Amino acid sequence: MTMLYLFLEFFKIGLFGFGGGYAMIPLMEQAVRDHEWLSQQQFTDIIAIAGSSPGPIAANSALFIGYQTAGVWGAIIAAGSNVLPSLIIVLVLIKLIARHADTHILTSSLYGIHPVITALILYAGIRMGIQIDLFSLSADYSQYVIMLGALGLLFKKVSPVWVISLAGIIGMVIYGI
Amino acid sequence: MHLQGDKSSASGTWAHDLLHIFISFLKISPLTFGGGIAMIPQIESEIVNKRNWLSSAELPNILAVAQSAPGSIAINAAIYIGYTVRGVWGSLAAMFGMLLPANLIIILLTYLFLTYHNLPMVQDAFQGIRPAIIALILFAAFKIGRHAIQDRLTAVLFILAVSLLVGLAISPVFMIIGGGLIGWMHHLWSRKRG
Repeated sequence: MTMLYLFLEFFKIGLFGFGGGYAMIPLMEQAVRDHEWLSQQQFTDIIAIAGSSPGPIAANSALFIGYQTAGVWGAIIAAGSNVLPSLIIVLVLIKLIARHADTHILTSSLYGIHPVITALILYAGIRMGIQIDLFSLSADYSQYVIMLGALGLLFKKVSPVWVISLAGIIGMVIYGI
Repeated sequence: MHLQGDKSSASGTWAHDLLHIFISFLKISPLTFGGGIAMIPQIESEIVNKRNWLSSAELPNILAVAQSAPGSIAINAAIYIGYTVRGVWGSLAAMFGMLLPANLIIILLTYLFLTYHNLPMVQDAFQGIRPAIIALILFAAFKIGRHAIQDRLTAVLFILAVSLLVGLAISPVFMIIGGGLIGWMHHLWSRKRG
């Protein structure tokens, strides 16, 4: 049954992830929470690893979540069902464009979908922040400083790999000593 | 958007071309840190300049389709290019080339994480990394939102979506479908008004 749920959930995540890899994070978070596959902290750590590895963040997270849930086959099913909708929809789009078909239904839908996706990603980020006690008044302000510093670097177009690596080193220094 | 159609632009034998598509994306994949759009220069040098599979005039189409279709932009672009070069098999070869290096690296990292995540040093590192991940996600919301929230209707949709998320536990999928329907109705309505 786990395999079937993994297939259905990751197919759904791939199908509704309009706007690239980060658009799939709120959907993955929901699936992981609904099925109790991972704790919130485990999920954040997976996003950390997937985000600091090369390659698509969603495929990386799918593989990791699938593996944690149901071993090697779980990983294969999660990653495979996650890219299947992409394969089908991109090929259909190519065919439609080649026939000069009207693709306004998609472009006009995306006009309404992208603001919703923005809200979903923002909300997922804030909820993950609440989970690690980032926004509570009693919170350790060092985490808050790391988050703001990381945001600053990202706005300066510093690669996420360097941002994550730097945050890891800072964590080792300030929490280890 | 205009396309060459189903005509394949590769010249070698079938198996030879598939292998080359696979290898090309194998080389591009490890360079796609931090989002699919970062891979466009790599695609240009490998697929357009070196292999001559596509003209650079087609890059905007690739980007448009890759961003319109759901899923990772990098994978969508690979599927598109693979298909233009060698049909459905070409798209599969490109997709697997894109996934394989990332998968191998993530398998290694998963192994390392599961083996060592109880070490105090690793725990400390992750305590520093978690806030950075929140920053990464908030930044992703900003990047999509910058283009998504373009007028009054999209701003209202955004605020409505945030309120629904905070107030009611509506499934994200229903909200995405709802946003799509509103976008479509808006299109029909503004077309009717001319």
